[in-house]
Parts: sequence; C-alpha cells; structure tokens
Amino acid sequence: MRAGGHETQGDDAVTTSSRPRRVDGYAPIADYGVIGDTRTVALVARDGSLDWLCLPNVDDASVFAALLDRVRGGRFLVGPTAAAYITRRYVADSTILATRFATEDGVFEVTDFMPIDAGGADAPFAPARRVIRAVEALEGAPGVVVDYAPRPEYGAVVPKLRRLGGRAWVMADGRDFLLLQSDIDLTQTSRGTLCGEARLQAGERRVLSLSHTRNGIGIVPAGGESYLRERDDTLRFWQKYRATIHYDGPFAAAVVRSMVTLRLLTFSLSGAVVAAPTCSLPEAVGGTRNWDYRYCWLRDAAFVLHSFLTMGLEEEGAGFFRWLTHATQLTAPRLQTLYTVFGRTDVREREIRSLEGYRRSSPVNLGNGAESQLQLDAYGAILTSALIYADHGERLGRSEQGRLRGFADVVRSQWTLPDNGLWEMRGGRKHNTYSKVMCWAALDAVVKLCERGALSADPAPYVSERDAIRTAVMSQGWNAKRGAFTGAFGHDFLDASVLLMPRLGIIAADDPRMVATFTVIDEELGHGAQLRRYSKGVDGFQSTEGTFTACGFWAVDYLARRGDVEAAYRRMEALVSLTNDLLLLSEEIDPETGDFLGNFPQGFSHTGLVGAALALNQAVAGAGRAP
Amino acid sequence: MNVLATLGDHWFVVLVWGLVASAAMATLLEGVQLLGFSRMSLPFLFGAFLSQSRRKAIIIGYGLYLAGGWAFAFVYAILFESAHFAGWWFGPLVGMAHGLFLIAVFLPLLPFVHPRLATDYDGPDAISRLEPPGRFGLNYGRATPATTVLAQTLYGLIFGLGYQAATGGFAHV
Repeated sequence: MRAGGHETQGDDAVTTSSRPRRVDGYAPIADYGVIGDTRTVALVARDGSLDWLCLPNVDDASVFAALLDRVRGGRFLVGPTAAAYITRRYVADSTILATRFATEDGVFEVTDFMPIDAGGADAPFAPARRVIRAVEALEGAPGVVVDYAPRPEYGAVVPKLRRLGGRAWVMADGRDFLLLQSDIDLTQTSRGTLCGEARLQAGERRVLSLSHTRNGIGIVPAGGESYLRERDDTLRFWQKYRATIHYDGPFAAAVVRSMVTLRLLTFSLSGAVVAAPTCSLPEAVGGTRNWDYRYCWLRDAAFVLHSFLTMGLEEEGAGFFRWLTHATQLTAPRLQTLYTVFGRTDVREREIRSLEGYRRSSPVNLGNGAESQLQLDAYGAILTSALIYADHGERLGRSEQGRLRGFADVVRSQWTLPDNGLWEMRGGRKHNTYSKVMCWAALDAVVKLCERGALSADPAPYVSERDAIRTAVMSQGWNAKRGAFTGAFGHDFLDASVLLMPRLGIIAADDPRMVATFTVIDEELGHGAQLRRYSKGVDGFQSTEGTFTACGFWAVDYLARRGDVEAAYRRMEALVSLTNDLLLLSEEIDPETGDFLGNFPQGFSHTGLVGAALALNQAVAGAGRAP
Repeated sequence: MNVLATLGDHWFVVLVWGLVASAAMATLLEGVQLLGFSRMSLPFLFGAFLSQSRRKAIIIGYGLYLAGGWAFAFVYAILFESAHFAGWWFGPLVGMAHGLFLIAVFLPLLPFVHPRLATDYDGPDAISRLEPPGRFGLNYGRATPATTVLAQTLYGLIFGLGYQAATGGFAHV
C-alpha cells in the first residue's frame, strides 16, 4: 500500500526508496514531494519532475502543470539520464527536499527548495519568488538530464524564450519576468522548451535557478555558490519554526511534518491557510469530483487554530485568527464558505479547457462553486476558534467582539434552516446533523466566552437557544432504525463527521448512543483503519470516491476520548502508515490500492492527524501508561 | 525680458505645475505597471543607483523622480520662454521628444552606467542585478516604448497648459 518505506537518517526527517512509476505519463499523487516559501508551493515528483507551480501566489495561474496535463501543462525536469534507484528526504524538518538518484554510472542528489529571505524588505535585491534546484554528483560519473518547458496560464501559453547572457533564459512580457539560470548548457528544442544533458564527476555541482517577478523590473540573482547562503537561510527559518513546536507524544515525526505542512499552507502575506495548494486532483480517477482547493475554508478554521495553538505556535495561531476576523468583515455577519488568501469572495467556478486533467479526470475546475452555499457549520468554526484563541490567553478586541456577536445572532436565527453541510453536497439542502452540532458548538462557545469575560454580552438568550439545538440533535439526529446518529435529520445515511460530537462536547464519548454510532459507522463506512466520509450515493455522483483521510483520524480521536487507548493507537499506527514516504497526506485514499486521491497535500488531513495525536497523547497520559 | 529673470518670477508656478505633471506621469506609469502592460519603473531604476535594498531604492527613487520632474519643469519652462510659446500642443511635443530620447538613448545606455543593472552579455555574477531594459526598453514589455512616450507627453501637456494658464500666457500668442 505504501509508496516507500520510512527510515531515519541522521538529523534528517525521513527517507525512503522506490523506483519511479508513471501511469499514462502521470506520477502517482503519493510520488510528489512539496516545497514552498509560504507564498506559493511546487510539487516535485520522485523522478525529479517539477510538475506543479503557480506564480507568484499559490492561487495564481500555473506555470508548470504537468500534474494536470502531461503534454500541455509544462514541467521542469532535473533527473537521471538512465534508470535510477531513488531515495529522498526532507532536510532536518524543513521543506528542503533532497532526492538522490543512484544509476549504474554514478550517484547524484538534487536539492530542491524555495528560498525564504531572511532580510525582509531591506535585504538586497531578490526575485519575488524563486525555485532552486541544485545538483551534486556524489559518486562516479552520473548523467543528468534537464527538460524545461514553462507553460503559463494553465498550459494555454507556449512562451517565447529568449537567451539572456551566457546561461540564462528569460520569458518576459509586460507583466511577468521568468528567468532560468542554468549551469547546465541548454538548447531550445522547440518553441518554449529547453533541453540539456551533462555528465558530472563526483564532487561537481550544477545549479538551476528559476526566478519570477511580476509587475516590476526583473531581478537576475547571483550565480555560482551563492545559493548555499539562501539554502542556509531557508533551513534556519524552518528550524526556528520546528523549535517552537511543543510535542513529545507518539507519532512525533508525522505530527511535526503535519505542522510543517500546515505552515507551508499558511500564506505569509495574509495569514490565511489554504486547504491544499493544488486544484482538480480527482477524488476518483476518471471522475468529475475535481475541485480547486487553493482557498481558505472556514470549516477548517477551528482545526487549524487548535493545531497551531496547542502546539505552542502562538504567532501562527494569532496570525490566522486575525486573518479570520479580517477576511470575514467583508461578508459579516453572514459567512461565506470559503475566501481567497486575501479575503476576497469572488471565486466563481469555471472550467479550464487547456488541461486534460490528472489521468484524464476532467473537467479541470478553477474557483469553487461552494462559495455560494449555505454552510452553517462555518459559524461554529469561527466561534469555537474564538474560544480556542481566548483560552490561550489572547484578548478579543471590541470590533472582533462585535462581529462575533453578529455571527452568534445569525446562528440563533438560522440554525433551523437546512444547509449544504460540511461536505458541500450540491443536491438539495438538508438538516445536516453536523451543521446543527456546530451551531450548538457556536453558541456554547459564545456562552463560555461570556462566562470567562472575554466577550461582553448577556449569555441568557444564547444558553436557551443552545439547549434547544441540543434537544433537536438528540431527538432528530438520532435514528432509532439505524441505531446511530445519522448524517441528517430524518435521513438514514451515515456521516463520519458525527464522530466529532464528543470532541465538540455535545455528548460524552462513552454515551451508549455514541458507542452505537461508532460501531455502525465503522462497519458501514470503514475500510480497515480508514473511513469513507458518508454512505455511497448520498452526494449524487456516480463515481466511487476513496476513504476520507481526516475521517480516519476522527475515529482515532473518538476512540481516544472514549478511553480505548489500545484501539486508538492501533488505528493511528495504521493510518500513519498510509502517509507517503515524506509523511504527506492527500484528501482521500483509495482503500483497495492505497493510492492517494484528491488535492495534495491536504491541510484538513494533516489537522486530523495532529488532532488525533493530541487526543491520543492525552488519553495515554490519562491512562498512565503507554499503549 | 531675460528668460532667466522671467523664470525667477515664475519659480513657484514651475514648482507647482512640475509637481502636478510629475504626479500625473507617475500615476499613469504605475497604472500601466499594475495593468501588466509594462514592468518598467523609472523611480526604482533611479533609486537602485544608490541602494541595493528594494525598500530604500523605491523611497529614494521616488524622491529623485520628483526632483527630476522639477528639474525638467525648469528646462521645459526655459524652452517655453525661449519660444515665447506653450499651449496645448507645444508642451506635448516637447514631452514626446523627451520620451523618445528616453527610450531610444537613455534606457539602452543605462546598463553601461548603472552599477546594479545587468547587460545582455553578462554571465553569472556574485551579486544580484536588475534585468536590463534592452532596445527601447522592450525587455520590460512590448508596451514600454509607447507608454513611456505617452507618459512624457502627458507631462508636457499638463505642465504646458498649467504654465501658460498660471503665467497669463505669452503676449504675442
């Protein structure tokens, strides 16, 4: 099931071995590693092909998108000229990716990273965004091949490349300046494509640097060994971040990688956390469930904030909460399902016809139609986030308090309405159980905030409405025929999100109704340790999607809260073994093959892992013994 | 009357309308940049003469750009006074000639005098440099020559009209 084996190598986090494999020209999603500078992200396949990069920001148009179209999407390959045995790892808990290729002729390593400037605005001229791919021959005389084919605007443009000086090539217009500096000689084989090969001797280094500037004069970065300083600065940034993560419980390597990934998905220019850096990776190969996840979903908010603040990452948590309250100003007191990284709401869904889709899974969608949906759980996400924020000693300002009261009043007046629910189903609206539970959690958070003096308001009306919601959930959410809390009032289908009810505090984990619900969900939605998110066919799609990664971790969370430490640990162990060799997770997993499905890497999955590990750690401490 | 003596009388007009014309020109050029027609920023290029910090270069550059706008306002005023003429077409004509000089002579020669500008012949270097403008500034986008000439023409138009109106025009026109 696994893409490769986990090993530990010195200070470096994880390494693994595997031979590359592509199906119809597409690498398995689990074969990708992710690098980034917290403003944009690139996906690099195990075979050395950089197949996804949007510039300048994560939600801008792609320059390389072979991930979604192997021919037209564009790629930047730095790989071996011959068959190779490949190992890779992240360097010391950073996002610097080192891929080692062992061929018959020799061994070389490619170090991929996006520099993080240490100096800010006062630093010397530097490109706005940069990808560095440094090649170093370690043994023998390995052959290295480079194939550089940028295809801006999601593959719609085949650019004209112009030579600049000795070994630099530029693609420029009135808006963008994209510069490739290469220590390996390249020739233009066709319009917009450069190719080259080199045979290196042990100890030799070659650097390829890609620089981008938009709406300004381009920067030509220093060449030669100057990349070493940038690598060290970048490493220092990630090591400083790593040092602030306070966690010494089980599955520490996976937890740390999840936290690093969440930081990578945190857009530094605003504090927003995107759901994933990719768009339209299919939830079922060949199917149509292909969505753009390069936005910030409010539903993720409480999970993300909980992860940051519980791990001691106060700065990131505070930044994200400030973004939440700032972004939602535009629509307050109503909340939209998702916002752009800058808090905009114009994210209408549209199809990109220039790309065929991952393994011909079309359409490729940009934007997201869920923006116009009603998701009542979003209010719970914001208000429980405020509670987490305040519980960590942060103070809510007057304007923030005013907005929170506005959200709470919307919950009071609208919780009885049907909505599209957490899973954004595009059929008719329902009285989704999880949405009602989150409305309860929203008002419960408001009451607690009032009681703790963090929010100036009279809690009485919120108390009565909160209790009314709980009564509705306990009576109408419970389905006697199924012997479980079901996905929606009056419906028989199951939904794994109700496993979060104990975590939110509306019911005890060992309540017989929760115990029965878990048993039914595990039987009907379970595949080993994994869970599907809801019963088949509920969403109206014909294709069968995979198991939903976060739901498996919610099961661990539930078991840990119930005190079943052994079962929780075993389940966690099984789920962590499903991560790829770099400990990254996608949105879904094919339960039969173990292949990753959906957008990657997925923040929601990683918050699930962190939440489950924290619950497990607490349960272990409570039980007073290791499992 | 002596041209310089006249300028001495009108220095305040030159400063005010030089500032207005410079602001209009900067707004047009920034707008052109934001709309993706050209990546050229003259203030940044000027500032980069003195600093390799992006922030300082932009701040210093805008100061120099404003000072340059005033200096050229005096040059334009001398031209107007010498010709005893300003008006709606002479100012733009002078501005257009100024713009053509910028794109045909100034920008292509700039890499040879600018300490932080690369040339098309450079190889790898130990310090970061700025992308060279190329012929007519075309490296910064195809619309660069047109927008530069247009901006300078706008400068000439605004300054010419303002100067004429504020000084009461030229007696024989």
